[in-house]
Parts: sequence; structure tokens; C-alpha cells
Amino acid sequence: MDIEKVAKIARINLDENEKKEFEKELKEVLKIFSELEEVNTTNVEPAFNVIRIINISRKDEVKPSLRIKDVLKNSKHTEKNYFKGPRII
Amino acid sequence: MVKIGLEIHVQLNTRTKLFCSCKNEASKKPNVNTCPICLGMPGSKPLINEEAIKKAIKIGLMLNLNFSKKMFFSRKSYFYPDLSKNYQITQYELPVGTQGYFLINVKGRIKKIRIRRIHIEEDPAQIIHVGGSITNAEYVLLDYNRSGVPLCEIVTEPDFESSEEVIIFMKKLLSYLQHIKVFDIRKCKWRCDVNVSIPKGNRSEIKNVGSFKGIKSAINYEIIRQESLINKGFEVKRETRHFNASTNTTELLRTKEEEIDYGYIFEPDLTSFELSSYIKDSEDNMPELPEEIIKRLIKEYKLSKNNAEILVQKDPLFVEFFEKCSKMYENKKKLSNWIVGDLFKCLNFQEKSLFESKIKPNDFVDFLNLMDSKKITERLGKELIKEYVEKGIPPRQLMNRKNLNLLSKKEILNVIEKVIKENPKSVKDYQEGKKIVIDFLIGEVMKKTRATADPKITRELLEKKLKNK
Amino acid sequence: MRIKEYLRKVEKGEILPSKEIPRIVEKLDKLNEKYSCFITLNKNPRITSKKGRLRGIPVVIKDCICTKGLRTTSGSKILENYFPVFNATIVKRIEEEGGIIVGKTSMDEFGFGTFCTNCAFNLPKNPHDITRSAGGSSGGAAVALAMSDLPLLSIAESTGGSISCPASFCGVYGLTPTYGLVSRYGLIDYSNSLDKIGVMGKSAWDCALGLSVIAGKDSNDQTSIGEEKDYTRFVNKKYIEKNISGKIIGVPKEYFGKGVDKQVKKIVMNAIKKYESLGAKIKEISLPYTKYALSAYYVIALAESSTNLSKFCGLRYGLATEIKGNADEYFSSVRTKGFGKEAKRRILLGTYIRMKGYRNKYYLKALKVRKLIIEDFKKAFEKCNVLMAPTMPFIAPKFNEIKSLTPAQQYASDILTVAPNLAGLPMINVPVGKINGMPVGLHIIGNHFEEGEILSFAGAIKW
Repeated sequence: MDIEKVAKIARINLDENEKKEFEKELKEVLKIFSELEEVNTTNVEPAFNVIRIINISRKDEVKPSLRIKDVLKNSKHTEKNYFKGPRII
Repeated sequence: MVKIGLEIHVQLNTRTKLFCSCKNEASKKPNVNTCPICLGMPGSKPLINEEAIKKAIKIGLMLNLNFSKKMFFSRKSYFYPDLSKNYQITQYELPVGTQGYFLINVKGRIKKIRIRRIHIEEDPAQIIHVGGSITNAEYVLLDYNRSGVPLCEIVTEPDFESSEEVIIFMKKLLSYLQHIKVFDIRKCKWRCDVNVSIPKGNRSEIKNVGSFKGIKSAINYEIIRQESLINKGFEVKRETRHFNASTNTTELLRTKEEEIDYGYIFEPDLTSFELSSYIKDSEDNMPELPEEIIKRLIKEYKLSKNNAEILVQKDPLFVEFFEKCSKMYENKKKLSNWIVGDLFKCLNFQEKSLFESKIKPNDFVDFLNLMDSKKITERLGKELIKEYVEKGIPPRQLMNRKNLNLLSKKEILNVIEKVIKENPKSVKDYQEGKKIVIDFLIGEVMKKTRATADPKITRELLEKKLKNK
Repeated sequence: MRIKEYLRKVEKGEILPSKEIPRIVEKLDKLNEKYSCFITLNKNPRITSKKGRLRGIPVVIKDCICTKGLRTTSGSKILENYFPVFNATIVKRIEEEGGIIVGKTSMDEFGFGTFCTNCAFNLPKNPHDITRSAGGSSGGAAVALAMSDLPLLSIAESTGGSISCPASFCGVYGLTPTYGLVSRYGLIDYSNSLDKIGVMGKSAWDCALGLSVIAGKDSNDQTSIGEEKDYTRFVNKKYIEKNISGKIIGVPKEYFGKGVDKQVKKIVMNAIKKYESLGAKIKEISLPYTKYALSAYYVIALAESSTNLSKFCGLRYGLATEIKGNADEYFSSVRTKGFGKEAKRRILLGTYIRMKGYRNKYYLKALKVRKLIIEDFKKAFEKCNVLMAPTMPFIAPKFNEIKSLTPAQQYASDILTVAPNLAGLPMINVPVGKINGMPVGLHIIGNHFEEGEILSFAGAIKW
């Protein structure tokens, strides 16, 4: 596993110790996971849902939205009813 | 031979968003149409809108699509401030359908554009770059009103060979989407990712082009860029590029190596869908398809086939506009001629849609009445309509502003005097027998009066005046 | 006092919730100092006058379930100051029936743990021995029950065994319903296709009462299914007498293998045999795909949870740092600061197994193996009414024993609970004995939507 690449995709910073530690631990876990290759799954459908329910959807009817104060309540960074965030690049 | 393919995103005109019951409506006030679901608050769960599925299926029916036996949603993961969950709920392995087609008319030849697939997904939020543009802003402000608006993505095969074909396709597609009532040009937005490749080169993807002008410029620039690379012996690499509307160029966004790994998984908060009941419902509720509208216009309004076709195919709002005008104006033929003729020409020339031009039925009928009552000449009418399309100011107002009422005989005579004075040689030529010079002199009168002089009267008066001299 | 008695007294007017609840909260506060099972105590709960089935009952809720206006952290620093603006559906239903939310219980961060040691805040201690684990991830929920005689209803959540395990370690009843029976609206997700909200109690009847209130289809959760029902009638003595006789108890041989402690096996086997005296028959069966359940479970759970945790990035809610740098830098700084070690491990693993090139091998493969495991159980239920096995392979381990386990070894402790959780089957832990004072649990597993059946077995014998 290229742990640096994965950490970058996941937006988590790791120091050198953590990289080594995680790499070791995760390798051990992945070894267990590779047991799955032993199983013959030809013609087996993947189980997306456990219980068979299909075609659940809702009607296209407007319901009240959140009050603006509740929208922003838990955010540290807001400006004039917008959420404030870091620049993209 | 150039190969071009499109990935078109169109917003659907449902009342509510794709996964929540917030209004699907733009607002000047930020974050007023939001809720725990479209804000991605922990604990919230997506609730799929049945109307979005039905509208996507209508699009599929219009595109002769093979519907999937089983439809399922997926999570596409990437980090961006406009994605409220840092994943987008979309469709990956099991979309609405695949393998359809749409026919276009390219200079009299029918061409089939194959549709690879269509699927449903949610729109992200809107970002305001404060203190600059995307490349040099200080920080961003986020408005989640748009977060969760339903999109239908239509992916074509790379069957296009020029930007002209692409534009013909896009215009017809948007018109048809309006006709089947899944898209409203007044409220819904669309954008395209354009894939361009030339022989011996890899394809480039140009992201987020949102206008016909942009599509044309982006494709044409890309073709030149790629051809020049090949000619110099360089490789055309597989890239994702961004279209810069102010410079009309494309710029590198990501190379193939930097491509994002979206780590798709199936969306476990939504059930799977067997589409047959939704398909039946959509088929039963399918609005008039354009071919049917053309037949109806010919029958009901006695329009020519050509006019009917242009009304239906050239601008999504033409038919509605025509029918609204018809209620207030008797001469359907004249009405359709003016719409299909001068109005359409002006819109085309200025690269505007009817909606962008802000022309209203009331004012347009008034304009026709002005000509019928001879308050303005048809020639003046053609001038006024250009300005009307450009500025959105109704002809009657334009006239009043510029005193463009038809001149009286006395006023015309005044102008004739001036023209005769300023053009002694032409007058001499005329009097020496070159009768055709009168057309030039009439033209000069027209110029000075900005066509508010009736040409027939002008000719009569000129002839009289020149005879007397 | 038991819930049944408390309800009787409230109805008679002998207990006034408005006076009793504050007293209870005070007691809980004191006990919390010793056992650390609460992240947040609701020191001023609103006492409603609703006269429902939970009238005046103090209810404690695992902190991954949103309570409007009451802090909800999911056991993580990244939500340390998060106050939901909406209630989970189950909270609404509980309050409609007169239940009073008095506290949010400790848990492993986002549900990531078998021993409730991956806690950003309070690390709960097993009341039977405070040097030992309470079990995870719903450790606080079990401890709150086990630490006193108070008539608490404890709502918890299970993904791979997070109700069964702490119930087993703390010696209480823990019911995990069929996947979809209880609405997940307002549950902060660990793994959406595996998460189930359930009930812990001092008896099968308590669990049945709790389930009756929270179960049933909810339009706010499109994967929810099932009618509202009264489950307490399945724990009724007369019903039990008629029900158990003639039923077949399947005992999967793979659940009594080498990895399970000998004494645990003995106690559980004796407990199962007791049902024969009630007329049930025991049948040894095999669930051949059992050995792959751990991998299939973890792959799916990690894939889903790694996407669920992406939303925590310092925008809109949750922990935020100073805005400087670009989006990627900002997100990384918040997430690195806010997530604990185990959460980071799981996000990294979960991200990896979804990547191009690995996705087929791990994620898609696990989904297929899951199908086979479900079919295993379906076949078993053609021949049996319920399955019985030990809930956990051992008694609650000591904290210092846990420290020496690698993550892989910790994950392996879930071997007995992951398969039925993967299949979305209902299950209940029944405390049936002790080893050196530490509780041992019997796991009763039913077919989908057979909560009545397992409750009836669970309530059949007084241990």
C-alpha cells in the first residue's frame, strides 16, 4: 500500500512515525482480507441491500427548509449568511 | 478526422431537489433553500425524488434508450467545498439506461448521434471566490441553495466531427428537453464537458462549458492546439482542461497521472430500482414530441412545413411564444414569417436565445400592429427588430425615444432639400438621363431619416423636385 | 427498580416524573464519575406530560444518535461541540411516548471498536470490574444499565456487534433488530448497510418495550421497513409456554471452535441445553462461510465508513481550524486534528479498498461473499427456528490486555457477531452465567423480522 497516496486522497496528514506504524498495521489487516480470494463467487450477485426493498421514492412536494440560524448554527466560519471556506487553489 | 464527444449536464425542472424536499429554486438570498440533507449534516439520509426518476426516463424515451433492468445509485468521493458530503450521489455501474441515439440534420443530411448512457446525479453548491478568481481568491463563500438540485447527465459517443454539429445537436436537444417538459430554459441551467481528439492523439476533456459560443471556441481552439502539437512531433496527452471564456482558450487542469480516483461504492441509503413501473408512468405522461407539434402547427395554424419546423426546432420557447402571440394577432402566416424570418435571424446573428433577448409576446404583437397600421415601414421594422433583440427595448418605446415616427411629407421635403444640396453631381447625372441615380438619392434620404421616410412617398417627392429643377 | 414497576407507580401517581427524574439524573451524575459512561448528561430535561408507553421513563441514548439541542459527538473530537438542529426519528418516537432523554452514552469514536477503548472522551469501565472493558462500541449504553438499579431504557447501535458485545461483557440484555426495522434517520453513520439501532435492558421485556416504541417504517429513511407492533406480548408467560415447545434450536459448530474460551463454551452450551426442558430441540448445524465473515464485514464497513467520514472537514459544522491555506490543506489540518488513531486507520483502509485496482478484489468481492453468508443463514433457518451460540469468545478483557493487541487482533474478536450483523438478522444477548464474576452471554439469533421469536426465547428462562 502506498500509504502516502492513500493519506493524500483521504486528506489526512501523517508524520513519519505514523506512516511506518500504519503501514505495518494495515498490511496485517489486508492479509486477512485477502482470504476473500479463496471464495468462489462466480455467478454470485453482490448484496447491495440486505433486505429486499425496491423502488422506494418520495413525492415531489415542497417542505419547509431550515431557518437560516439553524443552517449556520454549528459553523465557526460564516459571513453574511454564507459559509466561509478556504480558497480552492 | 476530429472526434468530439459530449457529457451534458442538465438541471431538471422538478419542484424539489433530488434527495430532499427543499425548493428547487434559485434565490438571491444564500442558504435559504437548505436542510440537513442537502447540507450533508451528520445523521441525515437522502430521500430520492420520484419525479426526477420519471423525468430522466422521459429523456431516455426521447433518446431511444435501452433502460437498465436494475438501477442503483453510487457515491463518487472527492473533496471540494461545494460538495456537502465530500461525495456526490450519482450513478456509476447501474445508470438509468444505455445505448440510445438522437438524430440531427446537418446541412440536409440526417446524422445519428449515439447516446452512450444517461444517469441521475446531484448538483453541488455554488462557490463565490472572494478577492479574485478560482486561481487567486483570498477565500470562498458557499451557497448551498443549488446543492442537491437534480441533474441528468447525457453522455454521447464521440460521433461529432465539428463544432457546428455539436451546436446543432445542443440546440435541438435543449429544444426537445423543453418540449417534453423536463427542462425549463428560464430556470434550469446546463453545462457540457467536451471531449476532443484528433487522429494520432489522445483525447482532452474540456470541463464545464456553459454556452454555445463557449462550445464553439473551446472546440476550435482545442483542434488547433492538438494539430499544432502533432505537427511539431509532440504527443497529445490525455488531459483534463478548463475553458477560459475571457481568452477563448483551454488551460491544463489535470494530467492523466493526476486523475482523481473516485473510489466508487454503491449508495446504501437508497434502494435499488426496477424501472418498468416508472417507465410505464413516463410513457403515459409523455408530452407532445416535436414531430407531433410540427404536424399540429401545420394543421391548426396553416403554417408552412418550413416555418413549423423552425418554430419547433430552433429555439425552445418559439412555439409557446408563437401560440401566445397568435391569441392576439390574426395573421398567423405573417406572424410566423416574422418570427421565423427576421426575429430568428437577429437572434442567431447576436447568438442569443429568445429567453435571453427578453422579447415578450405583447410587445411583439404591438410591433406587428405598428407595421400593419403603417406607422412604421417594414424596412424600419427590420431595423427596429435588430435593436429590440440587442437591447430588449420594445419597438414602440424605441420609436418614441428616437422620434422615429414616420415623417410627414413636409418633413421629408426638408430632408430632400438637404440631400439635393449635398449631392449636386448625382442631381446633374439624374437630370442628364441617368434615372437610376434616384435610388442613390432615395438611399441618402433613408440614411438621414433613419428609414422613417416612406420610400414610395420619397421617390414621388424626389422625382417631382428633380423635375422642377 | 425495574421499568415495569416504575411505569406502574407513575400511572398510580406514586412516582412523579417531574420530581423523580432530577433525582435520577443526580444519581447518574455521581455514578458517572466512577464509571464514565456518559459523554453528556441532560441536567435539565424537559418533563413532558405525554402519557405514552414510556411515560416518565428515563432514557439514555448512545451518542451517535442526534438529539436536537443536546450535544451529540459520536464519540469524536471532531464533533465535540456539535448540537444537532433536528431529532433522530427514534428520539421523536420515544419523546412522543413520554420517554425523557437524560443522557448520551460513551462509545468508541464513530463506532470504531470492540472494547470501547477508542474513545475521544470518557472511557467507560465495566461495573463488574473497573479494570476491564465494557465492550464496544456501545460501552456506555451497557454500563449505564449495569451500574445501578435505576429503571433506565438504554438505546444503542450495532454495526458488527456493538450492542451484543457490551451487553455480553456487562451482563445485560441487548437486542439488535433486523436491519431496516428501526429508522436510521438521525443516526450518525458508521456503515449504512450494516447500522441498526437497538435496545438494551435489564430483561427481555424491557427490550421488547423499547423496540415496540422505536420500530416501524419511517418515510425519512428509505431503507426502513416493517410495521409498528407490540413486541411485549412475545415475552408474555403464556405465549412463551406455547411457543418454545417443538421449536428447533440450531447450534452452528463453527461458533464453538478453537478461538472460543473453553469455559465460555461450557456455560453457553449448558444454557442452550436448558431450553430442552421447555420442549425445544437442539440441532447441530454448519455455517460454512463463517470464516470469511470477518473479512467481508470489515471490507464493507470500512468502505462505507471511509466515505461517511469525508463530510467532516471543518466546513458547515464540526471542528474547525483557522482558515488559511487552500482547501486541501485546510481539510487535512482539521481532519488530522479531529480524528483519533483508530478512525484514521479505518479511513485509510477504507479508502484503499475502494481505489481503482483494489476495488474488485476487496469491495466488490466482499459484497458477493456477503450474499453467500446470507444464503448460509437462510438455509439454516429452513431447518431451525433460532440459532444459539456464545456472543463473545471470551469475558471482558482487562484494559492492559487490550493495549497489547494489534488492530488485526482486535478486529478478530468480532468473529461471533459479525456474520449475523452482516446478514442483518435480529439477535439478542442474554446474560446466562459468570466466570470469576465476569458475565458470559448467550446469543440468540433469529431469521429476518423474527424479533418476536428471539424475544420469546430470551424471556423464557430466568438466569
